[in-house]
Amino acid sequence: MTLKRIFLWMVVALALPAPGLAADAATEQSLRAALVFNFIKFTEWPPAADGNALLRVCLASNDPVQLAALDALDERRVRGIPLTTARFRRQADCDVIYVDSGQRWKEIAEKRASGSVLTIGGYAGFVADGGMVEISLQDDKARFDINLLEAKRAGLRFYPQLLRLARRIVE
Amino acid sequence: MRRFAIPLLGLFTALSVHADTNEDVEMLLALSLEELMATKVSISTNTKQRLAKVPSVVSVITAEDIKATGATNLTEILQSVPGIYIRNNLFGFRPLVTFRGAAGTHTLLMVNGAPVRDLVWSSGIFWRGLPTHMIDRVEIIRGPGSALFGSDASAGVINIITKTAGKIVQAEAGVRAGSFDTQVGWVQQGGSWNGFDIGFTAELSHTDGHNPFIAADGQTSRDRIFGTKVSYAPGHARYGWDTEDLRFSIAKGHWRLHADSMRHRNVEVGLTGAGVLDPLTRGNDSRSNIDLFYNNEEFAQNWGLNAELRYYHLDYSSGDGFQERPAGYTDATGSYPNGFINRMRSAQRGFGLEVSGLYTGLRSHAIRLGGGFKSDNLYYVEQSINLGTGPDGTVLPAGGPLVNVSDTPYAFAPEKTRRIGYLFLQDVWTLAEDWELTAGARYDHYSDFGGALNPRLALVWQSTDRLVTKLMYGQAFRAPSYLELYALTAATKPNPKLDPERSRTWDLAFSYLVSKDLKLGLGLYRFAQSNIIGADALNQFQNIGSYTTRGVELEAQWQATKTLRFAGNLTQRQEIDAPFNSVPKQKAYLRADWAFMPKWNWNLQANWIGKHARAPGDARAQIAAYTLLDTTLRYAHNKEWELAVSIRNLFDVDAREYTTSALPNYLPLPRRNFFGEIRYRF
Repeated sequence: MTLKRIFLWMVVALALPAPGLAADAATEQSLRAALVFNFIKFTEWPPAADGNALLRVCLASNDPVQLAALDALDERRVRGIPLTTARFRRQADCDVIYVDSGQRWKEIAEKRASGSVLTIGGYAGFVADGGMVEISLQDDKARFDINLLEAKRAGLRFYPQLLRLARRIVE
Repeated sequence: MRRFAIPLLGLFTALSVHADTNEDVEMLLALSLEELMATKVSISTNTKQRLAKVPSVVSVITAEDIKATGATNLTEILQSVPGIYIRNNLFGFRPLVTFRGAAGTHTLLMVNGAPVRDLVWSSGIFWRGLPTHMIDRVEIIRGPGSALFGSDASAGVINIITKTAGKIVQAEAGVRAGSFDTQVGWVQQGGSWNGFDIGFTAELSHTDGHNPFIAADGQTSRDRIFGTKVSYAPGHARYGWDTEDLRFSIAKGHWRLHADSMRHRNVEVGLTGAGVLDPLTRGNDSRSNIDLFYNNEEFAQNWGLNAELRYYHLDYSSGDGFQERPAGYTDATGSYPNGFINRMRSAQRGFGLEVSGLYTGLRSHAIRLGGGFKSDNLYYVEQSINLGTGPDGTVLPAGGPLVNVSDTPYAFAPEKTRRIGYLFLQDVWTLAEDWELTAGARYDHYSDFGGALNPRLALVWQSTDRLVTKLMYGQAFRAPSYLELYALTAATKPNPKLDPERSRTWDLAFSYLVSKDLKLGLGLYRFAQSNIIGADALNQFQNIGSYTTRGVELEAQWQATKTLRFAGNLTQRQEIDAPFNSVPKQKAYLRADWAFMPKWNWNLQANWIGKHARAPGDARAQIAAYTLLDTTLRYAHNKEWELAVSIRNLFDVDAREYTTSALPNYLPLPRRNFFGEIRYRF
């Protein structure tokens, strides 16, 4: 086989009618990480003593792929405020908690103190368990539910852009 | 189900996907929330494989890894995996993938879940790896897999996942040219059409091969004894080949259809199995697969359902015949003016159906049960020879014409069908939040030799947020091949009473995340094989051998700075009870990736291979340890254009593969060579 024949083959293959490009597909972990970033973007925290110098995202997950995806948010900025990501230790170190198992959330919720912490869950039933934003996958697409009551209790405000796209809002 | 899928991947998967994930997230962060909500989630379609790989020692190679290291064939990148050693066979320079010192027949090699093996030789005939452009990722289990996948999965399992419908989001075309008169062209295209996702990849290549110089071959010594001068040595072993690889896929909802075709043309075998130069043979083979998958994770309440229906066809031809011995060859019966010619053709086809369900209705349990049926039919065997046993059982006279021995007991294999029925059951039981116990077993029944039951057990403990500990035990088997069961050859006698080869493996593995930038892995194993099939004193196959080995596999990955990354591993094996084995007991791999400027990546990789053992009484010089260095420079001009140049075996090391004593100087591996490639996306 010569280069000429290879080239001919390619010309034939490329000449096939080009179908329209499908919407880019993403892994569920990457998509969750991007959603977490957007939830933070559309959430307003009450003014704090330190002037909200840093938004600390705590990760309560055992899925290394999910952790790697969320770690990609480290050092990114939301309205000029840098994010940091770390494994969850205690609530006092967190402005955002991402949790992906009911059992893990139960442990966190048991020791929960009052404070302005945005809680995001990646498992079914998170909103019912007292979480604020629940990510779920439906028909290969991402959906989210919001527990507005819990958010208000923590002094957080969600932007209308976020509320408009929620599948279900608990008030 | 989703909950179930999450804790599966071991830390090592994270190592490999890290760079990929970052890129993925990067792309998604550029999208608006509305766009994110419209983005499709790509979920692995085969939960069985996701299930399988986690309570096991796994490695994953991504398309990014392949691109960065400049690997142009699957086997080049497999060499970088701990525990794997690629043995290059002198016949056709075929890469036999071996794990943990076991023979290549104890590796189960699959492409999208379809085994590459053939009924007669098991090695997939002229299988010479796969071109890399259409590979999406490679999933590797270092250890047993028969409890899920059946035969051959004793020492390791490799599943190559190709780029298919839904995964190809951009059209791409590329060309590559390099040493050994190698030319390659490829295209890929994907998109949606009337609600269907479709994908297409094609790769065409030609190479003359590295054509090593052979000073003396298997005929040279005979020439000395018989006073003849017929050997082609000194001369070059010609290893050229052409390949065409076409893959089409279409998917909608829960359904997915793949249609693949792979052909090898003008395959030059270089040397025969007996180490005799054969510059004349031009073989070819073709393989096609049609697979239909159904995957519904929410088929009914608490039930997920997977089904697959597969069909394949595989045929091969030795062209005008293998030149087993050169013209003028002489033995006790007399002289052969045309040499010993062995013309072989065969064709095999088969189908398989598998259905499995995943039940998640019991708290803390995920139970998969399923079964399947397979039929493999070697339906066409043709052989003509001019040396050996004729169709009536008498010895052919020297110097006679080619005689057709097809459809006689003296052909290289019988036309025969093998039917396999199997059932499997596996439970992943979350004992506590950090403890997961996997218990499973599979029973296979073969129409020709009987049954095999293979259990496995794995305990996975998320010891701390940074440490995962796994303890695993598994049994596995390899079904005897047609060659061993039925084929009478010049070298061996068959034995239809053979039992399958067996193995038992213990694995203890640790994955430790030292920091966000440093990850370590340590694996310890003990691998014991019994009932190994070998020829006895009368050259008849028997279950006579055993092999026990233990070893350590160490891995590390370090993101030193934002632009500099290192990865490496170390393999060390110790044989406890083993016959002679030439696979090196030690090897090491080191890789560095440096994005020294935006748009640029520079990769340097080194494969250190320890010394090869020699058979007792082998007077040849030992093959000393050697290091092969490759370097690849890649430049992405913009979203459309990308260029790469690569130098393989940078220091022009004279590395050799161990062979039988027929080749006094062993088999030389490729010396320094290079390629350049250009790709365009649109």
